[in-house]
Amino acid sequence: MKAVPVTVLTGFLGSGKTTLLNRLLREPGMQGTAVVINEFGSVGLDHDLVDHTEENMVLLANGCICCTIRGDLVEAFERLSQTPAAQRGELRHVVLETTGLADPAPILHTLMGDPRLQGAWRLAGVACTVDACHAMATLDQHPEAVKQAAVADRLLLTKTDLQAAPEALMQRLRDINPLAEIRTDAGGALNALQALIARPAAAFTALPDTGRSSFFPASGGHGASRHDDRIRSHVIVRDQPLSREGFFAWLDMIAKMRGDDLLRVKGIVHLDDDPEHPLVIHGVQHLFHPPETLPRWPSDDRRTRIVFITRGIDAEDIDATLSVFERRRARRAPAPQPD
Amino acid sequence: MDAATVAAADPRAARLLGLWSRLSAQHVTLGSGCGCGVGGVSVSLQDFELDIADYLWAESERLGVQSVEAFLLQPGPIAEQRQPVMHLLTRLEAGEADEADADWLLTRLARTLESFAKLHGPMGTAT
Repeated sequence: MKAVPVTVLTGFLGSGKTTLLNRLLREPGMQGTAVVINEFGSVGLDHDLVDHTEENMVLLANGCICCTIRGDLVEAFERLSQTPAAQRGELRHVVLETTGLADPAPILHTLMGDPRLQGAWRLAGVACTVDACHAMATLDQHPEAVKQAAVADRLLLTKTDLQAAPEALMQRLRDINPLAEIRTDAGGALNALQALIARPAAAFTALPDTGRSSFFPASGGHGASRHDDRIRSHVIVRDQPLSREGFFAWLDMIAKMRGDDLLRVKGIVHLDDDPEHPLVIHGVQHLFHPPETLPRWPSDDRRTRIVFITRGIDAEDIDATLSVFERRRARRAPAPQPD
Repeated sequence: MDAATVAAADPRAARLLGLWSRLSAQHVTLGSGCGCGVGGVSVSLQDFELDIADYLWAESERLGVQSVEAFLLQPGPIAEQRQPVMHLLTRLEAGEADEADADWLLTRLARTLESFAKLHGPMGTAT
């Protein structure tokens, strides 16, 4: 059975997630799309506001604690898999709307790593609504909003009919997440969300054009210096192929030591034992999708390029530790001790 | 080794020896899923000493710094050395390397070990 793609729709309170979701569900061609809503509070208000009341609706309540969310979410997807539409094989896609107060990372972890969901469901992308009128203040006051923006594949500016997105906001969003496509035009949010559903986010399509140095900020950083979100993006570049064993030892180590602060990692990696087939990595905090080997390089650029969106981690430290592992020569691995 | 040689030892060696002594005993659990149901294995940063020593050796080879290469290999092949970083720092603290080689090694060791310490977090950076 093919895994059903799941698009996560996040965004802070009042940023227009539910409105966007309603518009999406009124579009033609959405048959076979189920909605899962994760709300904050014991009364699921959004559930009543979403006018998609078919059988494929599951409500998660009180789900803001990591473990609670994980359990509820798994349960919700298990219930969804038992619905008649799913049983008939008609379920083509799921949109999971998170609570506006949520740190989306535990939800992404659950979708990416929970063994009960693997095989049946797969994370297809993350869209984040951003209120063009109020987002600057929201980002100042709520770290969850910064994190929501940091993990997104698409940043969807809403209420741009009321106010054009200020350049300062655009710069700040680019600083927080240079990987995300930002849509500002009226109707653009809906189109981008539809596109994300139709064509799940590629893990590395938005890798920035890189220069020659081995690491550098992924964006200009002017906004980041004014608004200290502590979230930074860095690109690590390597001209020479990397040792497979060394690269994974390093990635494993860094993910375990600083997983909480690795908000998003995306990269294309040139390994010395398979130079014709680049490896794509894609992770959220400590958890990584199974690496995907591409049949060929997407361009003439065969350098390893890894984008890190981090909180409080210096690029120099990522770079220096990779330097230790990247040329690991064939030798015995460290002898691990069982926990 | 005479007292004059010991007195000339670069003070960075003692500082890094202290840092690595604290840090290298810390454990990192690898291969687990943080509550995702998969068990992991626990390694200490000491287990990466061979990687660090090998990196220094490869750099000295690449840059043609033969005196450093010879100093690194003096105790034997890197792969056969036990706790090569701890041993290297001890030798540097004792002033066994000449000034230029010590500077070459300590500059790289400082950047590397301090990066491990910063990534490891407060327990690694505490003095």
